[in-house]
Amino acid sequence: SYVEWGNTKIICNVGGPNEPKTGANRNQDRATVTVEVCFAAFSGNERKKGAKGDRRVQEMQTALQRTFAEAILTNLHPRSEILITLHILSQDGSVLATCINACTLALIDAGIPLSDYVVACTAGSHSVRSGTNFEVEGEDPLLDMNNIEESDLPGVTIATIGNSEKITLLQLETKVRLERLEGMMAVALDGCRKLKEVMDDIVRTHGNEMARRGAL
Amino acid sequence: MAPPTSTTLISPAELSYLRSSLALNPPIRPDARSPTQFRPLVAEIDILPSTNGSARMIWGDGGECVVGVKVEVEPTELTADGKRKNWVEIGVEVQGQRDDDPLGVFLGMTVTESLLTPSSTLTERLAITSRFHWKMYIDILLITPPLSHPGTLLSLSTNLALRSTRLPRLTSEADEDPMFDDDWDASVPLYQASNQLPPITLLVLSVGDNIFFDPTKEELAVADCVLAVSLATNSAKDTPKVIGVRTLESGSGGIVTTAGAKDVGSGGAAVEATSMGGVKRTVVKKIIKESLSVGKEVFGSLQGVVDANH
Repeated sequence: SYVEWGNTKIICNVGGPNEPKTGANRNQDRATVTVEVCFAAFSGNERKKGAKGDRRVQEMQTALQRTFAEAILTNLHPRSEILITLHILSQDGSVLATCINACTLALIDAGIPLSDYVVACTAGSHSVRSGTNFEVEGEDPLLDMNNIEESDLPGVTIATIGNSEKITLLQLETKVRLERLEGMMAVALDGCRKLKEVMDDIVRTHGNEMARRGAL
Repeated sequence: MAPPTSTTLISPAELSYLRSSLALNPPIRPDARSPTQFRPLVAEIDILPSTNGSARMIWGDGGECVVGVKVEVEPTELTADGKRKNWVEIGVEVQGQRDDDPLGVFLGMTVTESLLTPSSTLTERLAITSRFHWKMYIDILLITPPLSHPGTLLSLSTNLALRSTRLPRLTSEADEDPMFDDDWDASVPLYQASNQLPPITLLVLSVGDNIFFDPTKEELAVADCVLAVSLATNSAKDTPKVIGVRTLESGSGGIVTTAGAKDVGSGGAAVEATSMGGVKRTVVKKIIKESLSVGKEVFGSLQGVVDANH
């Protein structure tokens, strides 16, 4: 799958279920999900040839792996490995969320059984200083932050599964005031719901196109 | 010598069948292409906003490659010779392989070589003033693992990425510290339309007296000799010049043992004939000659991609 979210562009490849490459990944009752994330050297503002052992990349890989190990019906394919590879071509904020959405679409395209769509979105909070007041209460949270907003403001990434409001991933790496968190979560959950409809549309259109061409 | 990209598992019967079919006159390729016909491919340029230039190509065997070009200002060191060698840095990343994998390094070299020959004017274009220059990073991302040798794919993608590269416009005077225009619309293309174009590298293989372009991995496994021919030209309409030729390791290396049943002669009995390794000079000459016309077509198609984008 290829997802463009503003200027964040990500390609996701899914392979499997296949024979596991290492014996350690062979699990008797369920499939193992392996995630590899690769930031292209030209993806950021500065050219940076990231090493694979980067901690941030590792954390992202683990987060994605745990999320999708829950969402994929792994007990249907025991003793196999599902390999998800993400190439980040261009970063402009909300990278983890875009990765999750790209993974969902790629897994659907690959025909791997998922319990439901995993959709992710980001939300941030901003504050306005006016005169003697430190903050103005009641500022609305921001939905879907880009790079400039993410580096400046606190933001949370939330992934939901299906139509329910069940949260399967929540990542908050910055400091935010506690009373604002609920507002941000509400906005992000709403965003996820709308996004799920969009993704569902795309999947159905693509599926109909494939059926029309006789590929199914 | 460079490691082969992937070992193709072919049985002796398949090898012999494929080789005889390619050695015929006129040759028959497994997919019924003509010897100079390329497989269908997809090419697009200028797709990444965070780069100075970018291109993406999907090759006939399904291999996909994204190339991004970024530049940074660097002070020029005042060494005498070779001061321009480090101005271009190429990184190749193949999915699922480590950073220092020899394959990636080798592929990077095949692309770098043709770019750094004196007849390609790339390094001259990167000078800003006498004290500063652009350091160019060309990053090649192979999204699918290489199925057959991806030399041509990488080279054509890099060519397109360089064609789409733009540099910020210089606003300072001659020897001051460089200052640039913030307006991206005022940026200057790296390769002006009328100047020399970046080079390309084509993979050509020979079987017997026949030569073939855009080989599949089975064809590569039976080849006598595989050459990577680098071509450069001044414009898409001129015939290009060959600026470099490199041999690559191929399947059989020209040593063939045939238990021949046909073309035996008057004897009628089956003969075992072994041809020694290597390739004839006439064949190499033929390769170079054909590369010129095929190269011209390729440059023309690449020009079409660039024009379609404007």
